[in-house]
Amino acid sequence: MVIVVAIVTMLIALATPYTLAALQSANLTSAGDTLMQKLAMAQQRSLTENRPVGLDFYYYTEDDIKGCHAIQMISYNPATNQATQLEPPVYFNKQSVVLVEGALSPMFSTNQTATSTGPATWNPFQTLGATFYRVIFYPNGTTSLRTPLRTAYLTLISTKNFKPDISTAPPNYYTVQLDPVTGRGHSYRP
Amino acid sequence: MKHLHDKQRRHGFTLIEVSLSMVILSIILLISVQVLGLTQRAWKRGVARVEQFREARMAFDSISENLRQAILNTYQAYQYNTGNTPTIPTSQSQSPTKYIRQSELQFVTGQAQTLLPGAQATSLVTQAMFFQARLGLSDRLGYEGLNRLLCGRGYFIMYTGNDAFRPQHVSAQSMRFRLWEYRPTAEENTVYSVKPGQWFLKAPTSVITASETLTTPADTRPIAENIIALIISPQVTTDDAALKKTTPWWIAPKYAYDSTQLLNATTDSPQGTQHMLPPRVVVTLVAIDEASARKLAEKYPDTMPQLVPTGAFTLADNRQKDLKDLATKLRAEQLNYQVFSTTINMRNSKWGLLR
Repeated sequence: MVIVVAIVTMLIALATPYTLAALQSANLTSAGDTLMQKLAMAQQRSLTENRPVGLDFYYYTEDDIKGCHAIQMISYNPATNQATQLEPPVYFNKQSVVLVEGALSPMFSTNQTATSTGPATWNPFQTLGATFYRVIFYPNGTTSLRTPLRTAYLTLISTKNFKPDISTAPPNYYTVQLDPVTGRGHSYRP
Repeated sequence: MKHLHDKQRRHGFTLIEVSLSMVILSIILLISVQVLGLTQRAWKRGVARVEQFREARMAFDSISENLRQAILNTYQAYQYNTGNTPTIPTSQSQSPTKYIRQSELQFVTGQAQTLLPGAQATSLVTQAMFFQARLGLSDRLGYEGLNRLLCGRGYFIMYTGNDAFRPQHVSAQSMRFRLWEYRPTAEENTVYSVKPGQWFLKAPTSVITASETLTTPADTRPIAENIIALIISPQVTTDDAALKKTTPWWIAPKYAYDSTQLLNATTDSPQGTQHMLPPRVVVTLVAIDEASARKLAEKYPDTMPQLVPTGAFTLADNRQKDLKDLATKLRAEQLNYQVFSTTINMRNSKWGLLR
């Protein structure tokens, strides 16, 4: 009996790190795929509905982790500068994943216009003190991003690998590049 | 006492029994680990496949959507001469000779290396196409709403690296077959000011570079990776072909179609297919997945892999056979591939009306 318990314990101890790593990897993949899908869907909706459709990225601090924890699809009226929620938000932190700021995600770091960023205007993000960054897709396929393709990317990492001001990629990451001109997304994995 | 001792012994296991069970358990564990490993690999391959082909499918949808909107704005006009501008008299005394069909726009398909000669030609595979459509692209900020502006558009495959645009933390350069979209803005639509066939010549040299800036975005941009063949076959409807007792691809038997050229002329139809959009275009795209592309890159580190057999996709009659040969070649190289094919009914083709 003691031997069996010892063997089982040993097996569990051996398997745990691998299982956890596999789970984290699966969460990262799932979150990255969701982001890719939402980007593609926003572009598709803009084309079929013939109006600008955007994706808001909400940056705030949660569990001492500063970064983007949620995204939400919106419709955008350029005449009034009004945004309307189209879908409930998608939370990355539910999957223990965060979209980091800084060198690994330079997409929003330059040339932001007054309409593409600011404090969140609706809850729950307003209460959380979140800042949003907005990417708008136009019916002709282009986007509102004002950056060259080589810096138009965002990186998702597991919260376990999070460090403030992270500048080197952890062993596992999910980078999503969005062509500002064609609105086409492309993913990079290690 | 001996009896009691025997009874006690019967409750336990001998060392041999424990060892044997451990050995069996180890074997079972080893097998399970191997099975798990195999399953994980298969799963990863499956995911890579889905992810990769999602990109190819989106590019394919985008080509179909844009090609469907191709336009020539054909009109009837007096012909005064047979020069480059037959509808404009060269002198006041020149009188019209007849009515002709005329258009300043162009729809052109053909072998990529023929359409786009130059230094990059050796990196081009299969076919290319260029056309004009109301795609609404402008250089100017605030013009996003003008989504009916006439723009040029083109597609071709070129084998290139991603040094110019990959994220900084992605260290490995990847040489891949990429599907490129040539998308000059309305301001750059020089189709009216130059000879036909000139406006798209700079497509391969306008690819994205590392010095791309915000104000000068490159006109040629990658829209999908690992696309190894793009086959464009302009065709007529099957009814039309049956009426003429020929194949639907008689208008472009070698895949080459140029709306500005006087092609397929007969006594009944002296202008042939000049200034006409084909009524149908069959677009076929062959994609491989990223895992296969990595394998190829390892096998051919310094050269462009020759996946499309020499001489394939030069005759529309052999299209199905060439596709089968390509599939055989890809299977022999143990590459995962998917073929996307669709027939696009050209919305602005006035085939029946103008013939």
